[in-house]
Amino acid sequence: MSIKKKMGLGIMAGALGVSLIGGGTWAAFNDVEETSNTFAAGTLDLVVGEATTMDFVVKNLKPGDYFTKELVLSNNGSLDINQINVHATMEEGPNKWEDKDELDLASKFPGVDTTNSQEDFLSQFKITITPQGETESVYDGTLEELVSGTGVGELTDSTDQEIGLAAGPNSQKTYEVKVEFVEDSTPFSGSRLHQQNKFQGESSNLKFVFEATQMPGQDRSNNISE
Amino acid sequence: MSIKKRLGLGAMSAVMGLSLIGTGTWAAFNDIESVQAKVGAGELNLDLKQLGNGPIDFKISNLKPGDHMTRTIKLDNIGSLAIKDVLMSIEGVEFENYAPDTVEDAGYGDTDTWGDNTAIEYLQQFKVSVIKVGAEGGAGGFPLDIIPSTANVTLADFYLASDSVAGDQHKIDNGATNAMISAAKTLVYNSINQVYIDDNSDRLNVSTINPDKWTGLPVIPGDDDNLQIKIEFVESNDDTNSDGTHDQNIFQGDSADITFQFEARQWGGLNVKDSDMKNGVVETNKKANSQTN
Repeated sequence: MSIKKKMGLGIMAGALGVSLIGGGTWAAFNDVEETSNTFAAGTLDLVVGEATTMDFVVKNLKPGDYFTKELVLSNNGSLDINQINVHATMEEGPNKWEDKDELDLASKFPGVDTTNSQEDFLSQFKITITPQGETESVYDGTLEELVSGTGVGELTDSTDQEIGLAAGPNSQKTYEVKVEFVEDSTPFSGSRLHQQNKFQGESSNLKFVFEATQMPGQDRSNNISE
Repeated sequence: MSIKKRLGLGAMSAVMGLSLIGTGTWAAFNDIESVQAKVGAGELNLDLKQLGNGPIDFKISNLKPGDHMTRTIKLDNIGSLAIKDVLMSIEGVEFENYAPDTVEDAGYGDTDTWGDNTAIEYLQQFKVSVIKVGAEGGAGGFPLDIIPSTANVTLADFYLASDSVAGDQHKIDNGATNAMISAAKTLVYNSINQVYIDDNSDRLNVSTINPDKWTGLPVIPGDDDNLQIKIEFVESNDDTNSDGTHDQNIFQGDSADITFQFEARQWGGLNVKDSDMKNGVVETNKKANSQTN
């Protein structure tokens, strides 16, 4: 008899047993068997590697400046990771963002809005995430877009069905992350002063959040381990 | 235990699993990791200060031909970013042509002592004798004189040659022609040390130009620049009218408000490396030449 058929019979027998129990015991002969089962969940464990330099603090930047940091992501779990999404949140904490007007633009341009929000400030920074050794980026947007979620970044470039970062001790991906304070020399109307001056002296605390997702559920019926 | 029975229960558990899929998120496992970061913009801020107790504005009335005045302006970087250069321009001229219209006004009825003239003609009477940068002296080797006294550049030449936000139409409204503007540019830019001309904007760089750390107005090392401007109301006795009065009399009582503007500019973009940083601050941006070509 093939295993399939044996299996079918086993289920039938189990079902019959249940109905017999429901109807009360009337036969003296019986037999009891047991099976031992283990349902062990795997672990999904994304690790932002030690070599990662995304915990940067860079102050006193001027428009046009840029810097490159390294991001190392590894899979320390037993389950394959499907996708890794990155977004950012704005943090409070010491020296949190506040609107500054170092050049007193408000008095120089009455009637013109010289204020800005933290989102405006973050929109001045372009962030590009590129797998090491490759030329094509997997994310290209602004820090503001990473915060607002309009440009949620998926870093592994895998589809819903593909493994983005396989399980295993040697599985890791390294990215070059370039952040640039984009220069914008648009002046205020009738003046030589650039509008970007309204961001002078401001700074923003950010948290980069990386989320790893599991692979889709699979039919594991044929997985057998003794 | 036989394989058969294990399989039986295995099939049951699969059914239970399916019911979970029906009611909730099927990708339940995820993992979140995060890192903290901070970006901060610096400050670029130029301040014009007095040197000693001297004034920085030319606010002088009751001038007569032959008078001259010198102002020394201290260019001070009060920001956190190095200033690459400071571009000087004459942005605007508000001219008032004197004409006495009541008996009480000086010169009423005596047309020898006043007359009609344009702003440009008036400014032509003033020679910008010296514009000296780095007047504070110190380690040098850089050229001090931007407009040498021998160049005979007038305020009118300077105004016409200078780029301005208002543009050339403003100059034409003040009595200039396109030919005059063109001639003034030739005169001014041929008589000025070429290194001090910003090609892109027809303006003078009035901060020091050195090949080293002193260029412009760095924050480190601290280096104020003193800019000296001398203006002379040139006496002209050569041209007289038939009755012996000097031509220059038509300028009597005239006045002009001139706006000198100084634009401080940043250095270009820097590729910031760890070696540029100290305690999270880009120290290199406080110094001259803080740009990546």
